[in-house]
Formats: sequence, C-alpha cells, structure tokens
Amino acid sequence: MNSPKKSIDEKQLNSDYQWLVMQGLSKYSGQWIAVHDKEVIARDNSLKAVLKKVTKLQLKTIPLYLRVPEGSVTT
Amino acid sequence: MLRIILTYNSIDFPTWILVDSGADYSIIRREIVEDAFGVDISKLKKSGETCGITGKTSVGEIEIEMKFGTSRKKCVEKIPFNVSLESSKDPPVSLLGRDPFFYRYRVDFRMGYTDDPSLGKFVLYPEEHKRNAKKYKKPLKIKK
Repeated sequence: MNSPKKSIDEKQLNSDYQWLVMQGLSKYSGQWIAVHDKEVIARDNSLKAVLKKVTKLQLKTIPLYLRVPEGSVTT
Repeated sequence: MLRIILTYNSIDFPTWILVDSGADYSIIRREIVEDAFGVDISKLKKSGETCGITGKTSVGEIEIEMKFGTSRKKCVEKIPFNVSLESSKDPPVSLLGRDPFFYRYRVDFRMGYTDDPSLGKFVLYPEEHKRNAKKYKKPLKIKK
C-alpha cells in the first residue's frame, strides 16, 4: 500500500502517461504495471505484488499504476 | 482511457479508467479497493446486482474521490463505484459509467489527428443543466 506521505507529481504522471500510450503494451497483457519516469518499474499479475515491489524502491513520488487488459476491451 | 487519481482514506492511486457511455454505473476492480485502499470487500454491504461483460454479479458500493483534468483545469469528483462481491466476476478494467459522470460532464473524444484510438484525446466540459432533470424521469410520450 502507498504511504500517504508520498507526494503526487502531476507533471510527471502526465508525461509518464503520454510516454506509455506510445509504447507497445502487449507484453504486459493481463498484468499490473507501475510506471515512473518513463520506465516500467514493476510488473506482476497481482496489484499487491506490484505495490510491494514499488514500496521497496522507496520512490519520492507515487507512480502510475495500471492493468493492461488482455486483448482489446469491448464493453 | 482517462488518466485519473483515485483517493480513498488519504491514499492516492494514480491510474487510468475506461470512460464508458454504454455502462449505466461505474465499476472499480476489486484489487484497487482491497490492495491499494486496504478495504475489506467482504464487509461491504450488497447494494444490488449488475449485468456486464462478465455476467450477472452482486455488487457493493464505495465512494471514491477522483481527480482528473489538465494543469490548467483540474476537476475533483466523488464517484460512487460498484465493486463486484464475487472475485470471479471482476471486469477486465475499471469503468466510468454514465451515472453520475455523464450527468456532470459532457464527454467528447477526439481523433481528428490520429487514426489510433489509443492516441485520441478526451475533452470534458462541465455539463450545463438548462432543464429540470426531474421533469424527464418518465419516458416521453410519442405523438402519433
């Protein structure tokens, strides 16, 4: 779980999001990933494991978390 | 997909969400509620049943603060999210449905400069309510 003391850097999140949408994400299909400073810093099938890995990295700001859906999403 | 920051119990969780005009309500993945926000889903009261791409499922409700927007215009909304009470019926992604998001915002998705849907941009405007919503609760009569 994220510590509430960690800060949000909106500018960083925006630039990470812009970077992310330009990447091929098929290799992360079905996985949770954490993105920080234009890099995928953690990946796993469970969010719990990704949060654990991110906590160990002791980042100053909270990364962007997302689950990459398997295939196309049609609702 | 819309980039958002979810906040619950002072815990921030930046992520993305699928804006879905085809969904009546919003639904959030169980892992976010359980693992990111530390909520015990088994203690959530059943608020109803919903039918989606994963089939019929019992849901509980949790109100989560959602931040979105740009550096010039930031928006904060409290959204009541449904959470599936059955672990096997979780949606593949969290969805932002019509009620109440589309009541509060006019949603535009622009692909004028790209043919790649993942590169399109959401443009959101606060909705103007010029008519009384209560007046339009019942189906309108069709004149013959």
